[in-house]
Amino acid sequence: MDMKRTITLLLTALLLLSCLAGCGKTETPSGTDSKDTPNNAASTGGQSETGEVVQLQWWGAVAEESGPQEVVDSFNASHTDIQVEYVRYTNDDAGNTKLDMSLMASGDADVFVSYNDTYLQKRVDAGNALALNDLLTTAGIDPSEAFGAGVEAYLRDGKYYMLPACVSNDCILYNKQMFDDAGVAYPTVGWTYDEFMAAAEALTSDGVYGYYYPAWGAQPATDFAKRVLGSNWMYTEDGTGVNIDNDILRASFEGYMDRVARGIEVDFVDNSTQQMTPQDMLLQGKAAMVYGNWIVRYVNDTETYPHDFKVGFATVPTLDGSQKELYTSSYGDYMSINSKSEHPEEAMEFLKWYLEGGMAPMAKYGRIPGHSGFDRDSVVELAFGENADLYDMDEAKAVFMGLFDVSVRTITTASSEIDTVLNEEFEKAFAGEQTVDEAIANAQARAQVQFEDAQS
Amino acid sequence: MQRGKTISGDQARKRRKIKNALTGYSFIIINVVGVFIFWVVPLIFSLILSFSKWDQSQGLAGIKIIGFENYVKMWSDEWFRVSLVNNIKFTVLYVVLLLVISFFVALFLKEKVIGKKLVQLGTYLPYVVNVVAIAAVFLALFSRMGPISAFFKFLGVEDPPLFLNESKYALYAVTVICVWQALGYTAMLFLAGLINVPEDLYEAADLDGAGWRHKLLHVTIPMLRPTTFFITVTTLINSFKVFGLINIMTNGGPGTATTMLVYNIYRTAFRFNKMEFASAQGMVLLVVIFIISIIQFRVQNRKYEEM
Amino acid sequence: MKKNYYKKQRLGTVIRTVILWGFMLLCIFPFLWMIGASLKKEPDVFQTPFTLFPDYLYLDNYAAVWGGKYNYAQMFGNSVFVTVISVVVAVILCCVAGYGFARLKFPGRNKIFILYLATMMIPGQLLMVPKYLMFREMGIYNTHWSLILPACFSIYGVFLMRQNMQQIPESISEAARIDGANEWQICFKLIMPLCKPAIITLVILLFTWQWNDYDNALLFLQDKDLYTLPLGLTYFMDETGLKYNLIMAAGIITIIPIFIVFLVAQKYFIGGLTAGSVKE
Repeated sequence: MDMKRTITLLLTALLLLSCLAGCGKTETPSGTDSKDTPNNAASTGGQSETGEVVQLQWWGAVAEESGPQEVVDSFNASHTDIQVEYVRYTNDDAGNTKLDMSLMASGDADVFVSYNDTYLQKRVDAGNALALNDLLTTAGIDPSEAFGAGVEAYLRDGKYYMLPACVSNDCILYNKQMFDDAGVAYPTVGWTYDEFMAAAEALTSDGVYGYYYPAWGAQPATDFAKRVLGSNWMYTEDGTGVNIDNDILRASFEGYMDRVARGIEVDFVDNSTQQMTPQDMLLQGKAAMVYGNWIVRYVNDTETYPHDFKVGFATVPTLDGSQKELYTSSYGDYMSINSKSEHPEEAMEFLKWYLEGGMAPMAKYGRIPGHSGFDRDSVVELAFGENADLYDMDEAKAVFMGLFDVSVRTITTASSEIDTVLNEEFEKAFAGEQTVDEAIANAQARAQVQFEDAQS
Repeated sequence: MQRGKTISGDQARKRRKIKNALTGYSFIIINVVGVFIFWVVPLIFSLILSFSKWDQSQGLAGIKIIGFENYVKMWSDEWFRVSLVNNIKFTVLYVVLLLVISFFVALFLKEKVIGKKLVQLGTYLPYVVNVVAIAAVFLALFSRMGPISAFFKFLGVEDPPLFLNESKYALYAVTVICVWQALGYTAMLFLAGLINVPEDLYEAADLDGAGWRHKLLHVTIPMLRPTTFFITVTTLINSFKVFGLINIMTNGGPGTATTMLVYNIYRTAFRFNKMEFASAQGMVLLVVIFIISIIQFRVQNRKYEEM
Repeated sequence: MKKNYYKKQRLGTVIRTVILWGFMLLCIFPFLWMIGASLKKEPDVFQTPFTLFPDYLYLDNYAAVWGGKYNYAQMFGNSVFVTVISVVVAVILCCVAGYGFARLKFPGRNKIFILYLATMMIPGQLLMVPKYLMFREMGIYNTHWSLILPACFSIYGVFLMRQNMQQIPESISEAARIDGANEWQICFKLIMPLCKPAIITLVILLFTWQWNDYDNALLFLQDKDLYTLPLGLTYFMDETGLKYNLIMAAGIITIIPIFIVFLVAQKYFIGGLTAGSVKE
């Protein structure tokens, strides 16, 4: 008995000691600069011991194996004085919070990627993103020239806080075989809502939906309005209020309800409870047209998704046809430099290298480079490569990779709150618990409260 | 030792008292220090934040005390109000259902049952299964083509409701899922308490010719009081902390039907980026649960001393 | 009379068995679905009408998860390391502190305990930011200690042990004190063995929590070499959607250790039943 007790006590003491020892040991590199912990140094071959090599951290949310690892390997192989380590964060609330906390506390994340305007704006407001102008001049980068004039919308008080790595076009993917069988003409760039509806109706049959849009909160009902109103669609033009109660949004909303009622689109509740995805719907022949430019990778994956039809690309239709601007093209993967980074020049060197060509390995995972230095044909080759025969490549070039005016969201006031309000009110209408008019009126009133609260 | 003889009885009592106190403190000291560092210190930060406005561009220096503004504002915040109401409804249902069902499961498990180990393991499983899996499977189960709908159709209900997707039913559906999830482990806690009830008390009752109802009411339940208190308090706290399932499965919807306090706090802090406002709501939550627990604590202690 | 009694007993056993088995089948249903999903190809996971198992055999998900690309073995090792240390320390500390709160008298005891209760009530999500800042200062950010140290001090566990130790009659301790045993001896040699079912319950619960802890791992770990299993699960999440078949395969693998702990602990748990009846 006594023996047992002694052993227990000894074990306890040992464990406590090991805990304390553990603390002590990790305390020696003294906190803030975890780049220098032995662990990281070891992973890059211990070069940091010489003190000449600059270690950079690049924070992004893309899985290592979907490009970043290849990018980092090739950068590190070609640079002896700078070594980059990729740190992956998850692009959800908690993951973004982690990045924000890291930015607030330290200069660890030298280069970081934001994936939407709200997060970007938050990081700029919080003073975490470095104003890049001086570095851009030194590096000889003219953003307007490199990324098109659209990028100027990102100027804040004359300063750039990020460079967009990607440009992507929102588009519809469609089953060419189904169009042929139904005798429907292929869509043209800039087709109208009426043309779209005629096609969708003709393509709808038992077990096949004419069109599929993912169950993303209110978006199935707002998407077409966005193509008319532009990226700041939820705000009034002067940005002083919320603009949800308007005829264009109502038309878009009613159009969606109508399509669902007529069986052209899947019911929202079924869509969300059955975890439907555009890739399943298109590639298993359950829908003729689906929204979602990111599903190209699934089309390429013929092992998981065997299919024997060619996939075409169409622009999202315009509601009235008279407009010139399609609002389908947008910048993505906003690359910023941490304002607390100890190596901003080196970070810019990496950024320049990445944007001007280093990011090529990302293209085959659907991240289309936005820098004008990329030759379009070579990007097509990178993105589609050996899978070209799965697609209508002319449409791929014209729509998926087409050059449109890029639309930029410039207002983000209370955008998360307004999104939540829209989801709550619109989903209730989708489930038949209130009418479209009620949903719009409620959403307008509630969103306005959030907007004003955010401004005060 | 020699001097001990000369010390008066009063001093000796005092000394013993001090010695007892020191022994007591020595038992809890490590834990108290740890809890202080890892729980109380962050809690104090959160408390300060709840009285502040935080300009994050200045880091920690950007925290400015502004008084009770956050506390006043929350009562006019529709999300806070609706989540409070929803949560109270949920809590009442959840605590009652969970306690009653798991108590009887534990009671049954203590007696002879064929395949007892398997049953225990099986009922505990939902507590272990990844919440992403739980969310996915219940969405599928509750969907229009799913087995639950099929079951109601089999019973002759023509257009059975989609419980998770209708404002009227969603909160109840979530409650059932949460009860189901915690059932095995709550039963295990009850079982651990039941096993500790001395067998001779039952034997004595048997000799008195007491029936099972008498034994339940006069032996099992009174003897189990500390365990029941523990389970009630922790279940109550957990019911106010329900988060994972909501975050993954319903996102507080449809509408605001399943928006509950911690989900709303999390959303306010990390999606709406209002850390201070969220902290104030967290403090109110803390006070509410605290008061309920204190009442229970008093009641339990009184009864305990009566025994 | 006696025969009738046994008949009644047997009938009771049958009824209980049927009810509990029904319950259990309900409970393991999602688990069966997980197994089913982990054996399916991605497009078939949410097939309609609802199916539990695929009509083909497909083990590639497990191969993909366990294969070298995701470095599952290392994550597994990390999880074991973090969980075992924290559970062992936490259980001992909880028993000792629980004993102090339940069976020793000292000034301020109830006040401190009430503070404990209060601390337990704060939603953990609110402590994320201060903990992050604090751990950086302490130098335990991006080390396993950021997961182990906080888990060593379980308020819940202290509460559980206190309540169970309260249930044990004071006369047992008195007898030992008269025999000259000090409080530490009473705690370790007398009371703790009597609380075996509760301790085992605590072990199972703490193990489950720590093994599945995602939030802390996500916030406090940065190097891939340090990742624990739940964090590894996010590997299978695409940027645009969840690959349920892979997640479920990974989930099944993750559950196995808890299974084992449960089965091993359960032996002592059931053993506790007899120990309980013998003790008087």
